[in-house]
Amino acid sequence: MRIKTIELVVLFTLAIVVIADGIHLAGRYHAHLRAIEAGGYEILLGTILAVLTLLYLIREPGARWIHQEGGGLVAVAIGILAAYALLMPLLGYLLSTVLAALAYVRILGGYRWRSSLLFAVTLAVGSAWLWDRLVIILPRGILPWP
Amino acid sequence: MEAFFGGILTACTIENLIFALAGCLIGTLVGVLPGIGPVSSVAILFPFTAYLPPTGMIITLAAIYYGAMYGGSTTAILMNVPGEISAVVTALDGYEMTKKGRPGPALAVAAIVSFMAGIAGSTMIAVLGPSVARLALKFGPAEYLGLGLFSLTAIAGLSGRSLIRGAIVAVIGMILVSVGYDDSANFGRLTFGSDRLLEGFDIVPVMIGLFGVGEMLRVFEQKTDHFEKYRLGKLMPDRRELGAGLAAGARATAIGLPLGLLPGMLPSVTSFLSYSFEKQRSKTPDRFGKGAIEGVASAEAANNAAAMSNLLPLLTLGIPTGPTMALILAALTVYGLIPGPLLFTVHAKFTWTVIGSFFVANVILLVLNLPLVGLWARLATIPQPILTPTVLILCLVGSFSIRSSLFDVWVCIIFGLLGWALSRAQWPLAPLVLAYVLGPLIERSARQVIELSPMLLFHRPIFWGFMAMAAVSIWFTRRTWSAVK
Repeated sequence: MRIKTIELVVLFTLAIVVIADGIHLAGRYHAHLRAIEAGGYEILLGTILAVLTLLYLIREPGARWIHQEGGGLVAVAIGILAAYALLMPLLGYLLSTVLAALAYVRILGGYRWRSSLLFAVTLAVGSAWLWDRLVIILPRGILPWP
Repeated sequence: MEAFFGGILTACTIENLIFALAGCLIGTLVGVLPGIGPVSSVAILFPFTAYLPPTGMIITLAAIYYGAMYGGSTTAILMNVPGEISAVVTALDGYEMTKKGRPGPALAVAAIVSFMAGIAGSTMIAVLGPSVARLALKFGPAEYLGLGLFSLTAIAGLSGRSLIRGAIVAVIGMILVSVGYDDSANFGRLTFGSDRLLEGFDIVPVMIGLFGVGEMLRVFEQKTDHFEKYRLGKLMPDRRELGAGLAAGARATAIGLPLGLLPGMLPSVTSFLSYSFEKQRSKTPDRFGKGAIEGVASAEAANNAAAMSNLLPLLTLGIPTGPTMALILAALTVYGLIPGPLLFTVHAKFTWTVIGSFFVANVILLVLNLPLVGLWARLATIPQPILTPTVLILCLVGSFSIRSSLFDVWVCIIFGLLGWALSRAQWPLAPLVLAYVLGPLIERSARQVIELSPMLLFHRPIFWGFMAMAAVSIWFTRRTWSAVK
């Protein structure tokens, strides 16, 4: 029941935000037909969302959250991914990829440090070479390559 | 006819053959990996094909799609690990045949009927494509609005058990695509003063996040299964098995081809339907689920037939019948190629080359994959801790490469988390993708109708024809889902 409450709050909030933005756009630039159309479309979408959410509240049973054993691992995985995205512009693709791959394989995979590092370096260097060949320009950071 | 053979010849140039071969190999490779299905494969690899010429891009993406479907069925037969939903049906009898020491005939029949269905689908596109595309010459804003709304009825098939949830997710998709700068109004929508949001969300990081990162997060939660060892044995079936398999494949192709034209009729659904039909018509239905070759053949043929016929409404009318087709539509628009009559007139060489490449890719899959089946099966046992970081890094690099923007990387991560959360709470993802792609078409057409005159709708019979088809499509698809359940 709590999950459904969260869903309803999120959906109604989204609907209100969209309708409000549409009213703001259409109201502020009411002399401009295209602005009224653009705002009106938002109001329409927000209203449809609100109506559907109401139907969901009335007609659908509460959502069942499927629990899996590895739920905590998902949080760790997302944390590593977020850290990777934060570090990439600072350290560059190569170093940040080594760190991220190392973290995944060591923390989540349970491999030993040596084999984790070997895999991480191989993946980072190999992929950096591939992106270089494909002319995909990635943040360089503190290293001169790729 | 001349254009068709010209397309085959152009598809057989060295460059295009390499694209088709690479797509088939990469698609099969990715398809055998557990947790990554055809949709995820196309989403993850899409940014890397953007560096190819337009013909190469579409050929490669289509080949990746078919290769991934084939790869999924290989692991379904050998290890009872379906690479995607439609392969679940294949595993019902395919894995039983493996347990009886006959994986070779199962794989061979699956490959042969897939080839047969693929060729039939490609032929249908070649024969019907130009005629259906010419219909679009009669289309104005009202007709395109009707077309967009009809295409949205695919939600009925993509929503799973709850149509309301599917509709909510679809509306959210339409809201997401409206974020950003509105060209005609010269104002930003839902940007909250942010310059980043003024650019809007690019479809690629959104798709990669939902289907790539989200999928990998789901994989993190699951245990790695212990796979039973198997012996490949003799590859070719005996005469009786081959005959029974081909007959079942032909019937399944006849079912899959027309159904694949309908929005929301995913290849996985046609697999279930075809298997169910084959079992019902059989004089010995008890054999099904215990290693019946007809079970393997019907699932695989229907799956591939529907996958091919999905391309007909996409190329001719711009109707994506599912998330993968939505991605291929996005690929076409990257190069400014608008589906419809122009694709068969101004861009005729490109279109017939792509159609020709469908034939070529089907031949490549048949010839190449059977000898390599041992390799594909070994790849499926790559440990998850090695596989998942590789795929995740691929996802982030792919997202970054579109606009060289870290904003897109964060979009990918956030949508990955959203995709994981939605699947845990049993919300469908596919309607969001479909609505994301169709939203701009529907809005643009609706605004044009309003500017001309809303009364216009009452004088356009094609619009009302689409509305009637939409009603029938929703009814039929929901009825089909109930039957499959």
